[in-house]
Amino acid sequence: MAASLGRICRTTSLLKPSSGPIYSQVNNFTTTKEWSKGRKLLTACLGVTAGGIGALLFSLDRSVRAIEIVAHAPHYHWPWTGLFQSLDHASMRRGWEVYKNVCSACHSLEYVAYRHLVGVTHTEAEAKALAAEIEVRDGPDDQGNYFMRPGKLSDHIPSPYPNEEAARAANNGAYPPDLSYIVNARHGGEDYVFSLLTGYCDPPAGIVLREGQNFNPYFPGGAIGMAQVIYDEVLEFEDGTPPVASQVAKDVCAFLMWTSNHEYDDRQVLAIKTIGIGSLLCALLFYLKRFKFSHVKNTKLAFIPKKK
Amino acid sequence: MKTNKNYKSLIYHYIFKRTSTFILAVVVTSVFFERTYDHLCEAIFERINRGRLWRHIKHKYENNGDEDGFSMPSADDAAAD
Ligand code: HEC
Repeated sequence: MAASLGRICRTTSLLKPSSGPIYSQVNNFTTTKEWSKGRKLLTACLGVTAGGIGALLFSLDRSVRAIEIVAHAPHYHWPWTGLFQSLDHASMRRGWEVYKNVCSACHSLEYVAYRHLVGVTHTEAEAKALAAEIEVRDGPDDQGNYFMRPGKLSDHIPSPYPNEEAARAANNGAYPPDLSYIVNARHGGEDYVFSLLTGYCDPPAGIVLREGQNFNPYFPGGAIGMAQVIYDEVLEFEDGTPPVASQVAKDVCAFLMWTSNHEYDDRQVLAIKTIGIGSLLCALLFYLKRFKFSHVKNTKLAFIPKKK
Repeated sequence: MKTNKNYKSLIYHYIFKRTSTFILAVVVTSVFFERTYDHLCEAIFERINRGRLWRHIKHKYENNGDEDGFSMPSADDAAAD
């Protein structure tokens, strides 16, 4: 910015012709040098106006969000907030318990299979045992009949309702969305889900809720079809962590963060690798540039007229 | 061949001089470089996230199961060696 302003206003003083033959050549190449005072002034004004309008639009865009009638989820410091931070797998394991004991009554998780849990939140034997708890309709067998069998690692988490209509009918017309990718599917991600789960309160005066609706300031519109489901001691964690409401909500968010981003940890490792290799290459390139340019910068061109 | 060659000219003579040896050197070094580099980066990652990865908590759950000795080779196990 300063450089281009300077180029427009005071071209000659920046590139002193006295500093050597190469520089004076460059100086001769600049196109703004011959501009009239008026033209320079106009260009400078245009630049300032464009910058000003950009800044205005930016600040408008930031403040316009205050218009929506919805509370914005604050940014929490998650275990994975920050550079190179992995997901917290102990927390995700508790989050699976929360999903299984609470959310799975209404929400499906259809893009997660039991095999995905292996080596992430559960051992293989545990995941097999979990899968064996469910019944899966399979077939046809050699008689052409369908039959029920215990679940296998390759089976997906069963949905609580057979279809969307059934889900709506059971929830006053509100459809509990699939939770597999909910963290990526909502503005604010895990912050939003956490705030939603813990943010239930009495509706302010003037807000009318229909049958089966609850007030939640973080839900767009305020009236949400899901009742508050997370309370202190809503379940017991197998590892003995005290199940206070915020802990339960945090753990289920950690789990849902993983279901939305299975590759999250790999991405962090990849970031380390990329930044490492990148800085190595950067240093090499810098050296290469200096190396090549040392030749250019040390070259002197001399014109020696022929003597007659 | 002269005996008083220093290592630079040795490298030149045996590696850089011929394209075949040069390519071979590139392939071999990249294999070793990548292995060490990956291990290094994963070690850094594990150090930063000590106690949070599955690898760090799985011993709590593993002792009872897996009698059949069969276990799926997960990416984590491969990286942990
Ligand atoms: C009693 C059934 C029920 C249970 C249990 C339940 N939900 Fe819901 N949930 C719903 C319904 C119904 C909706 C749809 C609300 C709407 O659209 O008004 C919903 C919506 C949601 C949404 C989406 C909100 C949005 O922005 O659209 C999220 C996220 C959510 N639930 C998370 C959870 C989590 C996490 C749990 C477990 C801790 C859970 N729910 C347990 C019924 C339930």
